[in-house]
Amino acid sequence: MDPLEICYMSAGELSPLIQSKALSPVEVIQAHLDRIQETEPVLNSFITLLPEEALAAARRAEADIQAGRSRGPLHGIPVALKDLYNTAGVRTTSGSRIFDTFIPHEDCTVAAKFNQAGAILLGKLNMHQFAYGPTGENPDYGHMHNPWDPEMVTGGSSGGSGSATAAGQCTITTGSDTGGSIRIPAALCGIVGLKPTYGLVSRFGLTPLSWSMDHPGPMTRTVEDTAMAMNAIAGYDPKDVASARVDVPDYTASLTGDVSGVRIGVPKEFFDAPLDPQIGQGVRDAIALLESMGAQVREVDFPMFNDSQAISTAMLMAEASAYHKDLLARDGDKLYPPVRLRLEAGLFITAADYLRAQQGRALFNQQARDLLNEVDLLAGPTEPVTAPPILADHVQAGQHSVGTTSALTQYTRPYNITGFPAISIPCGFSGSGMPMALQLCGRPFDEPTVLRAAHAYQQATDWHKRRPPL
Amino acid sequence: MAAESPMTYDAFLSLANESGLDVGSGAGNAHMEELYSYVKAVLASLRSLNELDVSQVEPDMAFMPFRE
Repeated sequence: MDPLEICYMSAGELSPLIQSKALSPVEVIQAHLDRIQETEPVLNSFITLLPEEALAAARRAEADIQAGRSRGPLHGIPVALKDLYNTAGVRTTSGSRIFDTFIPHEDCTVAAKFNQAGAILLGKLNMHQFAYGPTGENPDYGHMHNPWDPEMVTGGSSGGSGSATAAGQCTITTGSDTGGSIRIPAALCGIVGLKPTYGLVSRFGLTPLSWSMDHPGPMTRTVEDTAMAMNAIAGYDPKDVASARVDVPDYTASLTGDVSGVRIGVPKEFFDAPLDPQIGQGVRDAIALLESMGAQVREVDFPMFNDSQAISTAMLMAEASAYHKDLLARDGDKLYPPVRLRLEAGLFITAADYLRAQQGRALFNQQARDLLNEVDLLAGPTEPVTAPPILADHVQAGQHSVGTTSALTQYTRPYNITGFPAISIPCGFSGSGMPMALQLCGRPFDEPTVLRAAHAYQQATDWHKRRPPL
Repeated sequence: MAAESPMTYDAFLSLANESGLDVGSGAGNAHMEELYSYVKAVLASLRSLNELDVSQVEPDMAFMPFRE
């Protein structure tokens, strides 16, 4: 089989071939390692590669499957983890040279679950330093580059996850999403990114940014692969104080291709905000397609959307600075200057500001809950712009010039406040060939409906099948 | 600090010092001036929090999303 075709196959396509012994995990892993070697000089997706370990694991997987000891649908599937997921015996830098030699002694829960499922770790992925930025800049390990145009950002903070997945370097990757860090690179790189409900996927063993808004989750090219990954990593974890005691369904069972009767609300405020008209049209077209497939679509009011930046800024900055205060005092001058600036500025958020933001969060959550009592999903753009140039401090969103960080987090932060599940899926390309994305948000723990609608959309379109030109 | 009146540079330096930041001279001052501008911009962006009517609302401190 053509190695490049293997690299662009989904886990849903690879798994039956591996399970039926038509394709060896060794062949799968070798194809991906070759793809990484070919494209990494352009993309810089990885901080640490594990070629020998991955090939050894592939040989074990091959032997196990040959002997009838399959561990399930992810057995032999390549995965890579954002480099703030602790991995036993493998360095975990959080994107900073300060932790260049930090080797955890224990796997984070997500790594342990992937390992238990037989997935094969290819390496650790590049990221915005300490996950504190939405672009994918990193002077310590080199900036990440967008596979669709290497002059453009991947988005962040899980930028290496975005580029690796989009370019066929890996089948399933992970991100962590505090203000959009899964959905932003997913949107800008043209892949699928799910921020699960807060508490559904364990945060144990991940470097925190904001305790109350950190969400680990999968990044893939298809919604089916996202569902397969969620089957492996979701569930209660006593090691995470925020972990939810909820039943975890088979997420692939929700992928019926049918959206009949699903009620979709489209907040009009999303389209009043700064927005590239091409993206606005692309998202409206995507929603219209879902309507033509049987969804019930209507416009809704979400006025507190306009308060989401202030609420989340106060919470995120205060929590991030509290977590990193000792690091700041010890190694502040070794931080990427914009990250240092954000961490230091967070020290000036008062307790009163933080608590007022939490009061605002209560109001915000109530309004979001009320909306999701009327509809099943909220739909809108994931990003107001396509990927901007690396190091651009402003972007043009329609007629508005907006700070890059504010723009890239404009539509993602609201669902970090609520903790509700939100997915980004590709919904077209701009005139310059850059990906555009639709975001769908559902009720807490209603990932099945979110995945059902996203999968149905992918079944009716082929945006996710397009490949970047490298 | 999301008050209407802007923080003076001296007040900022005092708070920075209290927070454990190095407010020393030389290169430190240039950094503090940049941080001062940034902090003012951040605090200004939070002023809209004061416009929310939160008189009947307790802070959502449980860090748990609503569960049905």
